[in-house]
Amino acid sequence: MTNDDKRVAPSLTPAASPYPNLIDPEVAQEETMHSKIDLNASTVDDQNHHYEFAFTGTGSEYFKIWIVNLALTIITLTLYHPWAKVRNKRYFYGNTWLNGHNFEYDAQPWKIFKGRLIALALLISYVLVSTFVPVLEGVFFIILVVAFPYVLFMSLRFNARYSSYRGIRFGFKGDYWYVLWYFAVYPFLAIFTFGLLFPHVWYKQKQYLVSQHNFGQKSFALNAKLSQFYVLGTLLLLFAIVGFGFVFYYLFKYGLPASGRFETSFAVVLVYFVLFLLFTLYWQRMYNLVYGQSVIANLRLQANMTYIGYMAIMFKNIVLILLTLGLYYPWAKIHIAKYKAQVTQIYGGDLEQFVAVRSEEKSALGDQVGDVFDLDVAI
Amino acid sequence: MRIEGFWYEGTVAKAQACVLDYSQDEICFISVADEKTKETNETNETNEIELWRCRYSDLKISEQLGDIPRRIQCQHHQQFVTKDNQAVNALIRRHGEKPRSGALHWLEKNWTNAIVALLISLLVMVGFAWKGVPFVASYAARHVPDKVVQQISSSSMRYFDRYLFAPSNISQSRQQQLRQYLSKYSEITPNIQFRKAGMANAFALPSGLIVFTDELIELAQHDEEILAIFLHEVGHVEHQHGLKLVIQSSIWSVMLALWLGDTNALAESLLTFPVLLTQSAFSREYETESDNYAYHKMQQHGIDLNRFADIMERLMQQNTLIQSEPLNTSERSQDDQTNTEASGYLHYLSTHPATHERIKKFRNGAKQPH
Repeated sequence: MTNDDKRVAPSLTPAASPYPNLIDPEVAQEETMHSKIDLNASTVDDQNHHYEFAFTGTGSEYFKIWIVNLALTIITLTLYHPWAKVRNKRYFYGNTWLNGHNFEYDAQPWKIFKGRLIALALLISYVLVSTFVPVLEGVFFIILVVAFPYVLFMSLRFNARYSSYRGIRFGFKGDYWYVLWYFAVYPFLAIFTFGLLFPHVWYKQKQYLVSQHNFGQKSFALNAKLSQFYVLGTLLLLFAIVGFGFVFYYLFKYGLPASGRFETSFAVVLVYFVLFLLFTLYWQRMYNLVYGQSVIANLRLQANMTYIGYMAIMFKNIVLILLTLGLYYPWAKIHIAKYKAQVTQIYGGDLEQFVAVRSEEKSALGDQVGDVFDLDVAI
Repeated sequence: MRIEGFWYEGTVAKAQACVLDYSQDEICFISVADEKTKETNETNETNEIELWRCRYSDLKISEQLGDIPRRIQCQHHQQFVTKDNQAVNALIRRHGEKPRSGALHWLEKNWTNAIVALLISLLVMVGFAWKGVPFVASYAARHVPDKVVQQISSSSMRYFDRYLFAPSNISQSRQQQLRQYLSKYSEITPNIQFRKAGMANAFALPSGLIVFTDELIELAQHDEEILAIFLHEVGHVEHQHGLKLVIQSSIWSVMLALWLGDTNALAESLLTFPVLLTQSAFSREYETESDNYAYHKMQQHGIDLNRFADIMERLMQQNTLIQSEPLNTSERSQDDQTNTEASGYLHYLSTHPATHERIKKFRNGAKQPH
């Protein structure tokens, strides 16, 4: 936090400061993330709010948007893709509501387009270098490894910066070296512990991602415990042992069949099914851990996604996407968004307490460079 | 001339019920009491406070998209948000402008357009898949530097040697004799190798490396049969089938990512299945092409076309179809029945064209005088 935070945002209109106590950052700074201090003593009820999420997009409306943008992307030989992407994303943000107000995504496609050009230039130079100067290929590879966390970091910033709610922007502070450590070096080192450290890697990654995000001047924090990630790791391991054990038992019972036999096809389907069970378990638990245990100021998020509920939606989605050769995809996305909104709530203090980060604080350089990449990173 | 919505200050997360009034020359944003404050506030006389006033040209109105609320940005961070898309469009039209991105929204809201877009996407994609991808692949294959081709081939061979093959049991003199014999019939200078693999097979790598397994050499009853297989493999090399397949599969994965946009790992792995199917359809086309190559070369050198048919028949009896996986020999006899049944429904999965058809082509060719 810089000194700038302590200045009260100037009120530009008479109606700017309805609750002076709540928006004064000096007061706000004194309270810690987990404290239950009532900021506004006059209204005790402020700590007991309950806010619901809602998603109002519909499959048929989104299908039209999706297919038109896809066609435009194809006709323009993918040049239109940044515009299509922003429109798709805006549709989902714009239809996600919290307490009667919707989210907004207002990234400028031109900036994404520039990022694509840079990425393309990098790719072409990599191909050229590795073809004509193979000696330098190793050097280039190292550059790519070092650049990946940078792109990840910049993408996180990009996506957060252009997301807003009630006119207040989200943000991602982050630091390149931490991203390099948590998302490249540490996971790599954890491989040598035979996966024993993987839950710890997840824990650190999620904790870092959540804690570096902010809404206005307030940072998020993750309350999930390390033990919960180890429980997930153990569950995944058990599922994998039982599932793949059954596949192996099946294969041994029938021998290793030649391709083109019914048993082989069935074994392949079984493997996919076990993978499906594992992935849905991971995603469902991770969603509850991250969205269910995050806090910001005196608000806390809660998520009650159930394994059966999530699995049912995912299974239906995958089957229908396969049967329709991908045409069901827009409906699938809408269903997941609806389900997620339905199982997520916010409890606690007042939503109006948040104060925007003053624009002067963002460095001009960071803004320009940071606007270039837009990888989709699921938190 | 009023639009109802919310006013966001931009500096704080406070949302105020607000009305945009455009009955005068200037646009006026007036705060109004919402339901909640009406109840608590008995004296609702001075609730209407002017929040902002500016010219229309100072406003930045967000593009219409689906039915999501419109954002009207004033200077600085203040914005007005309303669900009333039609009223906003009326405001824009009143000021003599077309609603910005109206064209895009018109494209997106109309079912006819959606169906046209769907047809265009399908047509372009199918057309590209059918004609474009093979064209691009063969163009690219011709322009891949030799060095890269060598590298790909030698690294795949290293992989095969490590995991699949054992050194050949065929004597060096026999190997040398076969190399000399086969090379006479080839326009390229092939690198012929022998390996023990546990099944009768032969394959070619893009660099011109052609591998025979011991089992295939043993299966052949005449050197001309080996020559027939050899010419088929040379066909693969001459037509650069291996490279084309590699390039094609990379194009496919990019296209798949494009089609679905952001997709997750599971859906991705599941959806590569149809891609694999099309891939094998393409490689069947390549087999036919290589067969034709062998056919013409054999005719050219006056070699009996029956030789190809003979060895193919023997291969088929071994139930290995040249390319397929090792078969548990002890189970073979009882499984023959199920295999022929299964090959019916999995016909599309098999890499090589129905072997019967291939054999028939060579047998028929042998009957005709030329």
